[in-house]
Amino acid sequence: MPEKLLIVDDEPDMLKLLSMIIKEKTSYEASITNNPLEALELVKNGGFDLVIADLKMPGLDGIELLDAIRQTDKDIPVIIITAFGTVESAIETMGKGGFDFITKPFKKEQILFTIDKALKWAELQKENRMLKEQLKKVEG
Amino acid sequence: MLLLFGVILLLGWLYSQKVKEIVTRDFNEQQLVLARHAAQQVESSLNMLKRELQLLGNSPSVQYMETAFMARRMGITFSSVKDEGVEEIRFIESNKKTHVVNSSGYHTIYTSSKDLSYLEWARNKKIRNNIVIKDISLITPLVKKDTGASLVMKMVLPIWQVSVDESHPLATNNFSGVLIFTVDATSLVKVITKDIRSGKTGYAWVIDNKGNFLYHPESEFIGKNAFEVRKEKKPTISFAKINEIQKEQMLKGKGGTSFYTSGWHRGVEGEMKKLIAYAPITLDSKGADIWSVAVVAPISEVEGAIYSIHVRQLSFQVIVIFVILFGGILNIALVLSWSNSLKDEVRKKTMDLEKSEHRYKSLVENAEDIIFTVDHNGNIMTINHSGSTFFNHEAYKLTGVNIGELCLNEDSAALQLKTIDEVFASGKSKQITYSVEVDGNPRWLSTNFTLLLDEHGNPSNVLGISRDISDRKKIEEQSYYTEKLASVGTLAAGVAHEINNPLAIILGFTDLQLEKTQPDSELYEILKTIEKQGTNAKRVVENLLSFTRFSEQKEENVDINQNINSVLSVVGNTASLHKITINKKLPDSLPQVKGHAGELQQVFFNIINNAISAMKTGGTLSVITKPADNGDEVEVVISDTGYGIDRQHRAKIFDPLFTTKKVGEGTGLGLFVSYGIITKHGGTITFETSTEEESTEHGTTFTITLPTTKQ
Repeated sequence: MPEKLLIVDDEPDMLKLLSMIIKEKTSYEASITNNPLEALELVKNGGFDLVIADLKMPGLDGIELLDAIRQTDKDIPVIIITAFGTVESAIETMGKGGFDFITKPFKKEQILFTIDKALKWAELQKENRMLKEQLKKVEG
Repeated sequence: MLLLFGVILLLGWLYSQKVKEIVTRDFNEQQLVLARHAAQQVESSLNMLKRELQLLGNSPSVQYMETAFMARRMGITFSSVKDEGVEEIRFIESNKKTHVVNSSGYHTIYTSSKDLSYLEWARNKKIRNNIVIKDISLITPLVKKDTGASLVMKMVLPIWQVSVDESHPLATNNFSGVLIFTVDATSLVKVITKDIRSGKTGYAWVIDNKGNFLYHPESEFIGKNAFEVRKEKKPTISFAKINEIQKEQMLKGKGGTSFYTSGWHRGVEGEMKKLIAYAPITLDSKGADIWSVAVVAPISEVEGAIYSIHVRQLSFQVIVIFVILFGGILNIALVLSWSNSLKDEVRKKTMDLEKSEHRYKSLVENAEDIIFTVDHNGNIMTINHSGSTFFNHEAYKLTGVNIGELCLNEDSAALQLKTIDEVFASGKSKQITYSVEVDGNPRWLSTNFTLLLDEHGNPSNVLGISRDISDRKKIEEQSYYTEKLASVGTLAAGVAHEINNPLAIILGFTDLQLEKTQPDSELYEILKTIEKQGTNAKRVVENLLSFTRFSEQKEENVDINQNINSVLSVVGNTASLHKITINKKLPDSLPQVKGHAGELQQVFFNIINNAISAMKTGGTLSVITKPADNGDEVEVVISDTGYGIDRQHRAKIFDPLFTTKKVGEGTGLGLFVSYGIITKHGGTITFETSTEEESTEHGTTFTITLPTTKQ
């Protein structure tokens, strides 16, 4: 069962590019939306393994979306992409629990590498938690 | 002064002589009054005796020789005249019987031969009617123990039987005899004259018609001849004067005043001058027999008074002279002292004034502000040291120069002259800011113009106090420039974001599409071109972004070459616009340095930007990096072929706010900041320059050294 990615960007062409890269270069399944509020709903409903979000979006920006996602799911990795790369926004992203910060324009290898890394990290997190739970049961 | 003294003394002497003369005359006049009075008294005493004699002679008892009655009558008369010096009354009858009444009483005696001579004299009928007493010339000196010498005289009256009474109803006119009063003349005059005092010691004396003394206070003189007795007493003294007076005046019955030389006075011996006043005593109505009374006093009586007056007057004169003299000296001393103190005061005030002027001049001269005065037309009258230093001219060269000529432009000149006009018109101070030109460079002045009034309160000059606010102006411009940069940076960042989004999409799709295209196909070439141009655009945006946010960067290992390339890519267009060839030698093996990439980038940008500015008509910009000889540093050499840095500016190029660029083009901070950054990085920044005048190979070379990360 392929991992499911959710891509959020207010620019449809960017959504199209990212989904095309993922579709052509990975086996992952990509869902896209240009509405960050819808994206939050989708994440709440569950089923996604990774979120890629633009930083600057109308209504709800990337950092706010990250905040909101962290309220519902602590494990899902979030990658922030921005055309306005500043150190402050990068630090804020990482501080809020974002997995990584990628500035536009980017090489497709860069984004693919980050996605793989994030998914592996998420897998490890999941395994780690399961093992801890099993250990609790054994000990319990 | 001596002449004045002499004149005063002469006047004083003349005055005292005159006073002496007047006092002497007055004194003698008083003596004359005394003498006359005495003479009158003597005369009246004699007249009284004559009357008594006449009365007695008229008595019928005498005339008819009725002895009993006659004795009584004679006694009555004697008692009434004895106090007047009459010593005896004698009646010598023609029958040669003599009746005598004296202090012893009445008695009769034989007629002596002396008496007979009176009788014979009286029988002369010629004198019968002259019932007057006849001064008997027979004056006999007698010596009386108690009163001293006296002269006695006889008052004789012939008696004829002329009276009638009951017993003799008819006058017989027969000669009866002669009636004689024996009078002590000395006593008679002494009563009157002895108490006479003229002055303190003056006295009176009386001489008879022969010049014998009837009375004199010197009792031994009485009875003696006045012409002889003096000579006897003092043979050494000439009495010619008094003798002449006695002879020519007194014995001739004249009255008057005079003086003479005497040898004594009231016991005082010695030659002395005496004042004399004399008056005649007439014994009968015919004036045939004359005595004379004299009142005399030594001149010392007068001189005493005169002396005291003289002394008083002299004292007064001396006092006056001394007062005048002392007053004069005091006056001169006061004037001198006043003059001296005035001089001192003037000197002190002058010194104070000089000090004050010096202080004010020093204040003005040492003031940091430019202080000057201009006339109504704006011509400089005075200017202080700061002013001459500021304009880089001697103060005297600036004097007379119109203030407008110093301005950078006509607007500034007009503003200044208009302000001066307004200050003259309104009298109110006004502050303006304007630019002036100093050695071809613009400077800003903030000047307060104040009206100066002359001593009559009329406007004379305008005082200007200027402060050089060029630095402040530059800071203001700099802050404006910085704000402009910041807003440009913000704008650039926003633009970069807007550009980066489409670029990301373009490059992303191009990248995807390239993988699907045959490398030798035409489409592939097209996609590659798209990718290349997109990448170029991406780099420009990256540079722009990095330039506006270098402050965010932290210390890191910096690739100097990359840093310089970044700068050159930004200024590349400008350089080619100015026909500047960029010649760079950036070896790959260059060690990295530790530092702030953005800050170093700013340094390179500043220097390269200056180099481009220095080559207005084109040239070559060389940028060379190399490891330094010591191996521990990196050397960056940036050189241009521009006009070089003027000699007078070379020492100032790293000063803050120093610029030779036009307003708005340069901030004067570039090299200052660069110097600070390099120094902070532990490096050095130096330059070599030569101008067109100095060398054909003109231009400027900046050499920067930075420590490498190995350190």
